[in-house]
Amino acid sequence: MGVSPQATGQADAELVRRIRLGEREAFGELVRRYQDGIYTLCLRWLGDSAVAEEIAQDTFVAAYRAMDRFRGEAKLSTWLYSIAINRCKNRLDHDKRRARERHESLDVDPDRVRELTSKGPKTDSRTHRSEAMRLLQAALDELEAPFRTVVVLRDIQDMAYEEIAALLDLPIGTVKSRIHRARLDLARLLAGKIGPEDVLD
Amino acid sequence: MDRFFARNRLSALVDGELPTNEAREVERAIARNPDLAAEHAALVLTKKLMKKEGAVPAPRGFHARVMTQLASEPPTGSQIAWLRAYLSRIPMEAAVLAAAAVVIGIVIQQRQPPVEAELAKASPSVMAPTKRAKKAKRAAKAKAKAAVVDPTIASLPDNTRSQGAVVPVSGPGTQPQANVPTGRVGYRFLGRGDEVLYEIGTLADQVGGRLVNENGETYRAHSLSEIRNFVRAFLVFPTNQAGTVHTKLRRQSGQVPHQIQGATPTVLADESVVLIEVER
Repeated sequence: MGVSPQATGQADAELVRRIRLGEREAFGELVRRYQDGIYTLCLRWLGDSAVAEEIAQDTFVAAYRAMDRFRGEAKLSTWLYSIAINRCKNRLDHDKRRARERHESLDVDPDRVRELTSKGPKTDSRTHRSEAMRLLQAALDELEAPFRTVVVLRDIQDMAYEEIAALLDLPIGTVKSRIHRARLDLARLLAGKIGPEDVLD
Repeated sequence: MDRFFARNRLSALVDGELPTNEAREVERAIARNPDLAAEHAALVLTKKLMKKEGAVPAPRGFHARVMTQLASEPPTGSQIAWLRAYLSRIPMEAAVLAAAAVVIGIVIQQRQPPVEAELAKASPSVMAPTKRAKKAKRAAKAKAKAAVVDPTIASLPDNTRSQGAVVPVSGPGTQPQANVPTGRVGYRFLGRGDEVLYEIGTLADQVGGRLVNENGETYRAHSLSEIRNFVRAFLVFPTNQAGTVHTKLRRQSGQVPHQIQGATPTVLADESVVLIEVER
């Protein structure tokens, strides 16, 4: 799931080398290697499977076009996640702007206004394999974006604190405190709704 | 370790990111404090839930859809890909400035139809220049040159012209007035500061004029050290030399004179004055 444990830096470097030589199949391998991780990030950030798929696809197309600019200073995974994160941010900003414009054009319809200005992304029921998953996404939707981002990168993508700090250009202390606060908020939101049985393999 | 201190380290403990000593202290605090223990348990549960339920495989067909999308892309490393990557690195501001420069260039060209316009009249063909077009171009260039130089120079011996001297005109009424602007005017010189000041000082000498400040105090024309700190000076000259002076200043500045406001030095009845502004 996500980044393969075998996807070492060396393997990534070899993949990049082949891609730069014009081997399209090598890029196909890269997509296979990172598609779950990128899609998960987009889905957990945006909350809508169709939009997440669109953004994840955009991420890979953008990466393909920019491959000549990848200098290998960061890990390939970090570079890909940074592209995905930028695209997710842009999408949310775009949606917020549209919601604001529509809000301004509404005369009086409090229910509609509430719907358009709710804090997080909409939870998409099609993506949930279980009730626990639905509850988790609903809780993630409640988090502010900066907290949702770090906790997803840490707990789902298994990124190290240092890697997250580099990716988001944040001090490591900020990353730690955001992860802590995000988990506390999630725990509060999920309190009484999930138990140890939900996390058993 | 107090409760607050331990509480702030719970997440790091859950992530296994605490140094061993600190981890033991936090664990001891958890063992002593039921609230802390409950919070720790909730964090562990949340992390496990994220781990178990958080990851979602990409939808079926995702890989194929991406690769289909890429099929229309030029291969990486190709010249087209390189060009696109190169263009995408050019900042938007630079692109806008470049576009603006092109537009300004076109506008300036349209507002000052020079040699080329005459050339076009002489040779309407848009094909590669023919002998006739080249001849017309040379004629137009010569005509354009004749229009900007002091017409009095044309009647001078060649050796005088080659020295670049501006020859004084013998008396009033003999100087062509076509290039003499009306009102109080000035010229701006962009760059070449000292060089420009030297040339203007020479001009002042040649036409029997002088360079002065706003109070009419004279700078000796060749004492560049004295005027080096000034970017504004007034050239006072005999009015009958106006044609020569303005022709020279237009040529040197590459601009037509602009009207000026503010005080100018007091001059004699048969004298004129222009403001000289030099960017150093």
